[in-house]
Amino acid sequence: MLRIFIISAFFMFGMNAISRAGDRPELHQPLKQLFSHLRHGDAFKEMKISCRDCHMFSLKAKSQGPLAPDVDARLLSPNKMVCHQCHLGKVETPRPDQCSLCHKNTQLLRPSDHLIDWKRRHGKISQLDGDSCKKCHAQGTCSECHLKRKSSVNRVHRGNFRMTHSTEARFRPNSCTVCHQSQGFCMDCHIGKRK
Amino acid sequence: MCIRLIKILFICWLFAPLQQAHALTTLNTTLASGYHRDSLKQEHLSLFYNMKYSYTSHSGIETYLDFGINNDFVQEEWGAYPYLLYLTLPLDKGQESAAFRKSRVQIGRQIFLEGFAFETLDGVVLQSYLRPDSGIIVYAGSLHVPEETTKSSFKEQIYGSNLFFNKKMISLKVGPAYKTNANTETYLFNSNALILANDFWSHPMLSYKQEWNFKDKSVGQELAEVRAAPIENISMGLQYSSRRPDPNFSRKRRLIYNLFAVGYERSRALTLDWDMPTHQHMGARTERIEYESVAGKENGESHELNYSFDLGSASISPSVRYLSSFGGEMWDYHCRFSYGVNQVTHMSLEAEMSKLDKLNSITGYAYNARAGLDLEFLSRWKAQALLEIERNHLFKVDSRLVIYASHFYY
Repeated sequence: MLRIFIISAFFMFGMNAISRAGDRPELHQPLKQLFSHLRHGDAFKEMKISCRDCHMFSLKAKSQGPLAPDVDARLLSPNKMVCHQCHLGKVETPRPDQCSLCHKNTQLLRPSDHLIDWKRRHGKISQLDGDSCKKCHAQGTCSECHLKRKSSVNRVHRGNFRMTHSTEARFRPNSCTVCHQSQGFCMDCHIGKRK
Repeated sequence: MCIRLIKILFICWLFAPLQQAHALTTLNTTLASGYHRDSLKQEHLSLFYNMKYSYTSHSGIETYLDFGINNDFVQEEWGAYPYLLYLTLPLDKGQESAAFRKSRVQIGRQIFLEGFAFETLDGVVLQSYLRPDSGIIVYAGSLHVPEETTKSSFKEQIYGSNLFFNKKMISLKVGPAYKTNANTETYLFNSNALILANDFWSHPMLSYKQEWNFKDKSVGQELAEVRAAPIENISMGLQYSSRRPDPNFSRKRRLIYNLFAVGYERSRALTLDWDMPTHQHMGARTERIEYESVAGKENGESHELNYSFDLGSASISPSVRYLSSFGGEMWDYHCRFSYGVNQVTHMSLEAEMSKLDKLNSITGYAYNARAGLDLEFLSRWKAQALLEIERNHLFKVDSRLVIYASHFYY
């Protein structure tokens, strides 16, 4: 029994190390291509952001004098997190999902409170402080699951819902009326209008 | 007519991405088509078009549109669905640390989340921050359930306001609402409170929401929840709810509920979630529901156990559920596997088996399987294919295949 436990623990922690390796949220394009000085010019002027707010020109080479080596250009590049200083605080970009503006796999960017049991809890928090969601999301994120009538990729109900719905409706009748309130909705199938 | 509409949609979809690009515009257009064979072995071709568009002008006015057209092949009807269409007029620039917290007026069709509602509102919502952590919301308009997005009836109207307060651990929202229908009027008082003590031991969360009905002088609906994580990564919750459809609804709109229940539906649930450090998650939920039907008191039970394991870009999540109600008993076994093959290709497989013993003496098994493939074939272009097969008491095999092509523009 102890052996099984030790092997399981080793396996779980070992797997953890492997799975963490792929955790970096990648960018759509290299940072140099994502950022354009030209497009940000007006916004920077309006927000009174100067060159030195992002670039560290104060860096100097160790030895001084006319023969001193140049400072490596890479050191003058801003920190990668500098984008977030505006995009997660001062600027509300009209993205349905602001993070996906630059990042590919936004799942890896989910805040820690979105991880455990978030599907059940998110409604309460969004009702009380909907503006906290606006940091990353627009209303279109809610509509994707709550409003769309894409029955071809129906994710609201489970796969066998056509057969199980009568048992489930008698379990929680109020859940049906959240979306279906037309009296003809049930009848359309049960009289054979829909196949 | 159909062919003409398809042509128009195709042209819209083709030319939409060619608009002038700049950072204040976001556009996502999706065109999907598929094949479906129904229980009578009749074949159908579906078409679905969706467009999400947002544009913010330099003055800060935001236009948001989420619009779909399809021949929903379950409902066999063509329809244009303006899911969301609103203008946001900013009244200030927002707080320095959080631009998204700003006073504003939102006009048009939008999601409405005040009180117990989750509906779309055709109307106006004013949100004003009196202080960085508190303010007032005033709203007026007509409410629609998701099923009604094609219609624009102003028969059911709502007017109200809420005071809101969010500071550190405490969030509060209280205020009156007035609902009117063709012949009825309802005066409500909504209160909603949440205490989220993330810095304390066990990170407790307490939440209570209530709708007080002035006319009946009684609690219309209520929802209470206590949640805590006594051991790191293990979260436990207790939930109580007492719900019923809005009594302001006409009898027609309450019909589906009244087929099974009259009065309140009361439920008690216990949940347990374990987030393991190795990208594994285990969850359990048990729930008991009681309500009164025309025949007398009814109750139901549901017990669910689920597990998920992420390994790099692969994820597997099996679950099992037992449910019983006066409609019968069912066991449901489900498993989903998804795998990111590489940076541009993602696949998913899903299988479900249900064992049923229904009130109408139908017993047996139902099966459902789905397979999906996402392919980012060009920068900003994505193709998706979905194949679904099911087998149950109605038909031996029901199948559908849907192909999507999406363009993302920002």
